[in-house]
Amino acid sequence: MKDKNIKIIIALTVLFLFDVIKPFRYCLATEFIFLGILFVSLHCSLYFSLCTGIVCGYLKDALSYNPAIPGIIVFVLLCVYVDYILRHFQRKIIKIFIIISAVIMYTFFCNMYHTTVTYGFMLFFISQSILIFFLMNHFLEKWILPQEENDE
Amino acid sequence: MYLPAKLKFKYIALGCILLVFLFSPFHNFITHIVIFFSRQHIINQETASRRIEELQKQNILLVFKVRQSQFLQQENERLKQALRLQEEKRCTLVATRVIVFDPSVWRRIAVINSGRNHGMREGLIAVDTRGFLVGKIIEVQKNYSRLMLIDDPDFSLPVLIGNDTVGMLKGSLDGAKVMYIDNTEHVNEHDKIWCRIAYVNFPIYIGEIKTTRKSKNSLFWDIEVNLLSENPLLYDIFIIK
Repeated sequence: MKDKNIKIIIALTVLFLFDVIKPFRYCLATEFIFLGILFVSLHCSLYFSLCTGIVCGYLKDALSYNPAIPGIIVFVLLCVYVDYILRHFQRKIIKIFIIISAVIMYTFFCNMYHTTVTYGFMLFFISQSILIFFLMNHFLEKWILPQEENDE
Repeated sequence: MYLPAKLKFKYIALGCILLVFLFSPFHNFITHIVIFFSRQHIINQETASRRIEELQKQNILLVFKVRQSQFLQQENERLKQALRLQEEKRCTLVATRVIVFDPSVWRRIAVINSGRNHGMREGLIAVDTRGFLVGKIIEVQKNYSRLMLIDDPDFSLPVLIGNDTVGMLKGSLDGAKVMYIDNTEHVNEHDKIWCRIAYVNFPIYIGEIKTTRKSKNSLFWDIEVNLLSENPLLYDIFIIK
């Protein structure tokens, strides 16, 4: 369990660095830390995902300039939303619904105050985020949760 | 085995000589010579392989050095370009570098390594090496400042199109737009967009018109801009003081 948590923290740190340094420039329209928190809330307990969400949200807000909606609130809401849906629905397809709905909701949250943002960019963000999440999920699951998969 | 008499004699003589060498006092001398030559051969092989290894290492280092010198050459050219710009326009340029970016992809804000200590103040304009607008400073701290790039959704700046058409440039994440230009004005694609800053006595170019659209329900043109500035992630940024 400890090993899993440490691996998750390492993964989140790397994802946060990706967001801050932007090695892919602005070619990739996605927020890695948001995808990381989504991954954590899908695979870990509510308590752990809330803790990571608060820490990452705080770090994101610390480096942002006048964020319209604080990242800390967005990430906490995301964790609660994912946990609520997973408690009531157990099917595997629900996870896909959660991922897509979370990305779309996040897009509208972030876009609320900007009037000049084009629909093209929003579509770009949604499609890229979903694709990158599935890729990331595939590799992180192999690295972080191999034992659990075997148990299942 | 049948051997002719002469050959037989030769083989016997050779065998005798060999026996003499093997059991004679020369025996040690011969073994020493054999060992010396074989050792020499092995040492030569070892030194050759060591030399190859060294050369391989040197090759890697040289590749790094070549890349570094190429990068330095490019940087030197960019700085020369900036120096020329400074001399031509008679202004003071301060070279800065981007430290980090705003983690949100919905903002285009960079933190640069010059602050109040370096003479930075809010509202100063940032340009690239060719003199095209990159953004403006929105917050100044002791050792760092925040730079809002042109394509940030909150970026706004009064600009001119052509000679006398005035509009408002606003960022849109994947470029920029010029707003509030009356649709009775004449604007064409590829018209230059520029601005004039109060403390600078020359025009700063921003981009050119990419597309123009007239919508029925609006009084203004819908103009998209093709930005001319380089990507600030790759190159130095210069602040005009």
